[in-house]
Amino acid sequence: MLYLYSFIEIVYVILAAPLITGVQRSLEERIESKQGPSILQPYYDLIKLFHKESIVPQISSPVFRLGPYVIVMFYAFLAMILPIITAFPLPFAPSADFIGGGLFFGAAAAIKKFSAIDSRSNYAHLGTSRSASLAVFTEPIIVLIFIMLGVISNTNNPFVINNVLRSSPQWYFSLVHGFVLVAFFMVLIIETGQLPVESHSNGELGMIDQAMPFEYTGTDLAMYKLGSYMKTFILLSVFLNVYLIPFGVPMESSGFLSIIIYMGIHLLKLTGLIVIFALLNTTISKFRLYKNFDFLAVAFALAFLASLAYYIVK
Amino acid sequence: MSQHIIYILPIFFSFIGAVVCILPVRFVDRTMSVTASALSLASAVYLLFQPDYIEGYLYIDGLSKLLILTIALVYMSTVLYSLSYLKHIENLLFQHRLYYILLNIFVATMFFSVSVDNLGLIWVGVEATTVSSALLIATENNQVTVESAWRYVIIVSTGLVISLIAITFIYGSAGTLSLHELLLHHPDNRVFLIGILLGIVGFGTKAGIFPMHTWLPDVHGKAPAPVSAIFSAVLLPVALYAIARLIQIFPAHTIKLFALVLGVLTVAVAALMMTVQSNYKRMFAYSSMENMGMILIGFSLGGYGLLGAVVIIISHGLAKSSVFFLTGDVLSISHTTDMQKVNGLIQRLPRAASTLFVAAMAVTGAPPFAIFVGELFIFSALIAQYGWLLALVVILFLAIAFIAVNFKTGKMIFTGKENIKREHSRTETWVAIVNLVLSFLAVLFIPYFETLLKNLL
Amino acid sequence: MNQIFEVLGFLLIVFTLLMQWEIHVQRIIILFAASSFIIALFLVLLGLNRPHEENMLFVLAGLTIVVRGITIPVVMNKALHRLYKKPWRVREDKPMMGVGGSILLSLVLITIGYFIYQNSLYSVLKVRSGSVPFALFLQASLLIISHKHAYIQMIGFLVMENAVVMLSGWVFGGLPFIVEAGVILDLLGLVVVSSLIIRVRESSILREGDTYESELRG
Repeated sequence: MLYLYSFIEIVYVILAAPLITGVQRSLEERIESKQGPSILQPYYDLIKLFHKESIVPQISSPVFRLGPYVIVMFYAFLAMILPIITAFPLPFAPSADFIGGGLFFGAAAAIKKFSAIDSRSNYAHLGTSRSASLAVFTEPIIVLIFIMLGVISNTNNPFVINNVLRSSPQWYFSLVHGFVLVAFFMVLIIETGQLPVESHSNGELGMIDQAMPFEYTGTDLAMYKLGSYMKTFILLSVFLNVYLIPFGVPMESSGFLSIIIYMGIHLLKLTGLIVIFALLNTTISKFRLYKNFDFLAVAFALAFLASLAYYIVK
Repeated sequence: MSQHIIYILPIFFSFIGAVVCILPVRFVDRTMSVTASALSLASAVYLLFQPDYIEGYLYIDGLSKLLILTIALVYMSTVLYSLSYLKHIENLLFQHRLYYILLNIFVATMFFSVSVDNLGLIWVGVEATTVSSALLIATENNQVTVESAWRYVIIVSTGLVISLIAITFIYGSAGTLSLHELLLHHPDNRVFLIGILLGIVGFGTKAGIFPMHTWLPDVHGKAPAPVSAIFSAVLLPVALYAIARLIQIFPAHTIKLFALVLGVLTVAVAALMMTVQSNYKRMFAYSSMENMGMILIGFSLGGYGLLGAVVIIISHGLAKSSVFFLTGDVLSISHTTDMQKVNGLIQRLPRAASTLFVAAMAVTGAPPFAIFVGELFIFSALIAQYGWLLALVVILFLAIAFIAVNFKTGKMIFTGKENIKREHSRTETWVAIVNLVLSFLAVLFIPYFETLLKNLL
Repeated sequence: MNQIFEVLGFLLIVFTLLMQWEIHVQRIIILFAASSFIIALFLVLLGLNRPHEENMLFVLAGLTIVVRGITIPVVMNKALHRLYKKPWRVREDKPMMGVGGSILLSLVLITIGYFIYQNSLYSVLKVRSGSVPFALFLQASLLIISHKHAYIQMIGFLVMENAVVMLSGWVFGGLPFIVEAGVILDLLGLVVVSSLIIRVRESSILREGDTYESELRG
């Protein structure tokens, strides 16, 4: 039975991920008083791309072709081990703990960079170098965030952290949790590519993540896009399910029906967060490239203050 | 009660002087300042013969009385000197009235600091001296002067914040800030100890103790002569008064050793810096720093060391103020503070130059001036408590300072080409001469000082 | 109660971190006013916690709001308006360290303050989380050292004084009222005098540029 839940989880993530991005784009356009694309537009794009032929640069190696598939594989694996639709560990969950999950995100990002560089395109190099320099600072913040909450609950299991946070208001309202929330939110902005770090336009002056898939076409591009949608979905789910709103995620004792119902509720929770992102995207302007490092410094400061708050208040 | 009003008379007179100076009537500021200072001096001398008064918010014992006397003497001489000096400053920042108001308030806050009973109020008084003296430094409106005034404000205020933390510690561990209660019984725990140590560091910033002395040469190099005089002569000793009270409350070995080490380091650094100076005002500023180091050593030793320290306070106040008055003279006729460019003073200003020569010797500790006697007392206590080696090291530094200052001053005064005209002195030299003579006469009053300080020795 | 104090203390640390980040002087003044209000709130809560010293602490909180929260920022703002044509654009022209570097240095100082407190004073004072005022003090000294603009140095000094108020209230239970009142009066005088000095200093820097370093050495 539990294996069924794992399978449902992977399918859910793969199917629901483009929906979130579609909702965000449509909402942004509506806020700007335009009609905008339909919510299901990313699905149409993906289906169109799956029918097209993949063209590969002559100079590239098999890494270039395999990259997107490996990335989707990683994210699907992550979907199994993180608490997305359940608050109790599913059968494959013990294969990597929270910090391992963070490192898996880093591994997927690294493979993305390798396969992008492999195309020997200038834009890919541009995007890779910028993304790598930001990742140098983002990865420690992610690890610090995960460690801090792990220290609170004496474990590195995201499910246990969820249980701790939903059952004790002392930890939910503590300083550590507050600081970690804000730091994680700032990291989310960077990792999922929202303003003020990255805009949706194609200006090369500020492109970071958008410059990397410049040479992909056809099926490869479809898998690449699916991978990035899944990354957004998983990160937002972790943020909501483990940190911000750990309530309501079905525990071990609830039945199959509650899990299905929760899948819908989860989409609603995500929509709430997407609304916030859409508001950010339509009101804030983009940072100049080197100012992103100041942004990261503040995020790091907050994550560090979380750890200090834990030790000082202990 | 009417008899006890006498004890706050000095504060009262200087403060009234400040208030009256606000009136925009011509000449009232100068006459009022002169009368206020004369009355303060009279009441300070009268106070010397009154018994100690430790009641309410006041704590006036021998040390306070002697400090009040020093402040009053230097106050009077500064006011008299300012009367003529202010005419020669080129680029005044503000009107004469404001100068006198600030000067009177400054002196009033100093009188306040040495008379009150509460450590917190001593802190308030010392911080108030910073506030009122900051603008006095910037009397002459050029960029360097204002910059040095700003450095003074920031560095001293930061140091005083450290001593505010110290007062917090003291209050937290002892439950009271009143001096006479703390002298009777004080707690013996580590918090109190750390509080006193931090207090020494904090007030030491105000007194120009190493390593917090960095504002001192800048300020003295750039402020006008009467302001430098009153700074060196009384402001620094008032800060050391606070340190003396702290040591008096808790004479533990750690604290005395700490103060002694700081004092020795101050003397050493000041002596070494004096040798490389090219600006005579800065050189004399370092000489003040060296004397403050000696005073701190004396306070840390207690007994005859304390007597020597008080003797140095009084005589250094008078001698250093006369030195700075004379350098004001020199500055006003040569328009430069660079020692290389000033020479032949003995021919240009014979009276001032010869007085400067004698005063420079007095300030660096030549006999028969009182500073020498004070240093002798301190050395006797130092040898008795810590042996010959440390005393010899300190004597070595004092000798370096003596040679440096007098050589450079002598070069300024005595070398020069053949016929340089004698010039007219722009300011009153007699004030400086009077101060110097008083500094010499202080030697005769040492037995009286000893009887006054009986409860401390 | 203790938790609320810790939250306020950390909020102050974050505000001081923000002050370190900011460059425009007016924003730093506003942040300082906000942190003074937090100090006043802290004093009110302290008064509610200790019933026998209530009135004094409430009066002190009121004084803090009036002097540190309102008067001093207003005085500094007026001085800015008098000195510059476009006061909202006044900023630290040549920052000594970049934003990221100064934030990291601030964090290092907070950690150092925590370690020093834990290893030395905690065993003596026995108050948990008493290292927050020390961290504030160190951060404020970083503010003073790393800026050349005189207003920011002044604000750094005032933040130091705020840190001392926090220290005395949190760890020890407050200073006697007359001392606190004297401190506040002193601060007011200091700000007024400093505004005058800063006015002259900045206007002469504007006129001549800074070429005075050599005279103040040695």
